[in-house]
Amino acid sequence: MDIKKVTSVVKKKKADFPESLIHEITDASERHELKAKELELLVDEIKKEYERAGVENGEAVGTVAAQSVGEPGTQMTMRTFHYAGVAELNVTLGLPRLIEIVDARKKISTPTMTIYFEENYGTDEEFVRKIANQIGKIVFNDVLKDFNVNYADMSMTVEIDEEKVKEKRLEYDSIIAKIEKAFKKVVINKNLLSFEPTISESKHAIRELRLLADKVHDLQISGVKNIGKVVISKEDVEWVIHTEGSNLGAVLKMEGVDKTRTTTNDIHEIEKILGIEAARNSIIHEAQSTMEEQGLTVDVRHIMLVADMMTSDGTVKSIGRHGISGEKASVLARASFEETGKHLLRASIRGEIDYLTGIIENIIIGQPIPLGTGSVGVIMKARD
Amino acid sequence: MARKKASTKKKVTPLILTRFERARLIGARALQLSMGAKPQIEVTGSIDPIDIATLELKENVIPLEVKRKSEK
Repeated sequence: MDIKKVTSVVKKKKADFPESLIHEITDASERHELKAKELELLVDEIKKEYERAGVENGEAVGTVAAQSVGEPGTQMTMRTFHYAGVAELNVTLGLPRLIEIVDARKKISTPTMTIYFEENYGTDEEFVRKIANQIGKIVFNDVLKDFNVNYADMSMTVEIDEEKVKEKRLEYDSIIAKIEKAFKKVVINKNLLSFEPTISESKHAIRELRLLADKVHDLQISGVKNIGKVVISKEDVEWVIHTEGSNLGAVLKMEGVDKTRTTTNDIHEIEKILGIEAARNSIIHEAQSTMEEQGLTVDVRHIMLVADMMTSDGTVKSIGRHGISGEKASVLARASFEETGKHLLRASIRGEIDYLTGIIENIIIGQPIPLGTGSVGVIMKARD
Repeated sequence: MARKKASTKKKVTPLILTRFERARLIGARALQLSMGAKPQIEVTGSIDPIDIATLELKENVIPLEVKRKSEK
């Protein structure tokens, strides 16, 4: 019984099953070698159970989701650990990370990318190493043999180490070009470069020389913007790059990069490059893996609800007063959340009306809530 | 643009009550009983309005029905 047949039976029975369920039915029907009539019976029974398992109208799903995510939160560690996953790279874990996700922070503390490569490229270690050196931040100091600052003569000389340049698979000429572009007064003699500072006042001469030295020292000669350290590791049969810092846009354009698997933990970047649905998936994935890493299991539906609420308007909104909670129509609801005086004052100046249609306002004034039992309308049966 | 004729058949949703509807019906009926309404079943055993209302619901003789919001 193949999947097309199962899909047609399901459609005939007018059952609205998700894809995963249809896959399961197909597997079961193949394992037990079901005949057509038996398959129809099976789908009937599943449809009955599926409809019974649905959440009832009026169920306070939001509160349940909040509690289901919050309760494990009390068991998470507040401290962040080092080396989560690959050695040398710090990634935020646990409660601080969950807070970052839910607050939809634009700048996260440890953005990181995992770069996968396409079939032929992924097994080629040389290729991956070359890309890693292209992406990772390399400063001028990393390729120098000698660095001399002479305060007496007010001069500075450096010596480039050709070995190191070759090691890092860099182009000697492009380094020289970058130096010439960044510094005006530089004299190049094979591998020896000498810099001359522009001294405006002799008082600040030493400081200016020091500043110039730092500038030469930290000049970036290779690497993609926003990316710092880069680490290569072997997973199963292929080589994978983990980066400190994230620039999905630039990396996806590079040749050999597997565009379907390469990812980042920066949700806003995913929203910008891949769109809002991808951002929603990313929120769910990040929240789930944060929980799992701490050893906690939360049903994915609760996290899905949070992700849906955050992204349903087309952009990633935070849960707090700058996002969802701040956009509520009711004055009382906003005032009872944060910044009470501000909201009440503004509302009274504008003459705002609160229509008392939401949960919070009705709790405040003591009326039944438009949820659960309060969502049921009862009328007398017509006498017949 | 021809207008679709409104269906004269009354739309009925699945007959299973959600637990909120059950609670509301029993509560509303118990309130009516407590204010003097005539029970629709033979009262033996408990005379607590909630118990009587629950029995009435089981026998499906409560004169109340739930008005569900129709799905468009």
